[in-house]
Amino acid sequence: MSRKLEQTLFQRYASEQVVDHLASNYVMGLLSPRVKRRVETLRAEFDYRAIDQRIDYWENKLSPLNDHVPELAPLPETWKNIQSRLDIGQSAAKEHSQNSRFSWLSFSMPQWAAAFSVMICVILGVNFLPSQESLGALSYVAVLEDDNQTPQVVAATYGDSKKLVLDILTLPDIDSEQSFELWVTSKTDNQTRSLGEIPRGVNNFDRQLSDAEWRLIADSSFLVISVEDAGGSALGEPSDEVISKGLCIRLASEEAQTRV
Amino acid sequence: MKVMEPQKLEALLAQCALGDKVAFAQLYQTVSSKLNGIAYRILYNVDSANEVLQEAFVQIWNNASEYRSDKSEPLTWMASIVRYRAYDRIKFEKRRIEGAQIKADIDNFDDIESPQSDGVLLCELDQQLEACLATLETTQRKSILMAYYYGYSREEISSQFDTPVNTIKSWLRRGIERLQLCLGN
Repeated sequence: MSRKLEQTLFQRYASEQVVDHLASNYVMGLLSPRVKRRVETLRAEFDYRAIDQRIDYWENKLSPLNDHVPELAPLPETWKNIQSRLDIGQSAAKEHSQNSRFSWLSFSMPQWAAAFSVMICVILGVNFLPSQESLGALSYVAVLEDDNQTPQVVAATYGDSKKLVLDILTLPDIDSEQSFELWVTSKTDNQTRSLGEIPRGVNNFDRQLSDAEWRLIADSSFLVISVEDAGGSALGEPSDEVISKGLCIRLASEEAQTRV
Repeated sequence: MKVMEPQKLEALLAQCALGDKVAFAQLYQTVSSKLNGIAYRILYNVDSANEVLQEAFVQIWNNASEYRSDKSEPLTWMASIVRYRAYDRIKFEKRRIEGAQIKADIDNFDDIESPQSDGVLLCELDQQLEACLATLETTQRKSILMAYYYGYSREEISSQFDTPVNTIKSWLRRGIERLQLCLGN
């Protein structure tokens, strides 16, 4: 670009009016593709950072308009497509085959430092479990949260051993005549079926799943925990007192696919 | 509606920047329905909205390290990615040829635009933005919301109002200027 043209451009984009017009119209999607590309190029340049700043300004000012847009659950294949694009499932499987230990243990220190508290709890909890190598590949994980989005229990399953592992972060106090029961809701028929009671007074817990229970996990959309009378629900369905719920995420499988 | 705490989303984005796949899955769980809703509002097509969502999440994963909490909230950052991709998509698809789609959009739009309407959104919006939008002339306010909220082009707004495009440009420009004046810098 010639120096004269550069100067002309700089003068043009030094005008607050021009900058604001471009920024606001960019945020509202009103620019033509050509001008939009130009703005995107300029906003990345230091000399034209005013454009970037004004785009941020308008994005922030108009963002409350998004607050009440109705949510729309994405199609199930969207997550699979994302994973396929990013090669996430395959890389997870590769990591596992290279290291039979729990793959999160391979994280570097900076990663640990930045890790979210829930996942730290998961890792700490799993670390206390005996014989991780015998558990096999981590296949499903669900973070069960209460109504305030506070994580209460992290449930994980391991494909090779078909083991269910629960890390109990926090659960409310209940009467001695009551117990917590874990449930799985089917993606196929939306029915909720029991995975048994959760022992009281322990921080983590694991048990072997039967083939039928494993199929329930493989078909699950989410897990829930309810408060029941001691001994578990007599009705075969959760009581009204559901205290925790979390989507079941498939992390890796033989097909190296993942779903949410 | 899920509660999306900015700090939680920031932490998840930070983990994504470090290559944490579990955090990425959690982020998807938390915000995908919201972002898909935003894409759908603009595109009015489930498949197109999901494709935009897919592209946006690939971008979020690849660019998570570029997110800066001092510039915007995480949801604003991610919603902007979705909106820009949706705007590109409608230009590419030259959509809204069918009258039914336009009618459905406008029906919804009337709810949003009218502060007096029963259901609705504007009354629940950020108070400053609500107050400032209310100071605009109706045509200015409608034009701005049609563009931002539904991704209408100037030509489409012109068609809706049966008014020349240059007039629409003028409404938008004056509306934005007044909005800026009201919102302050």
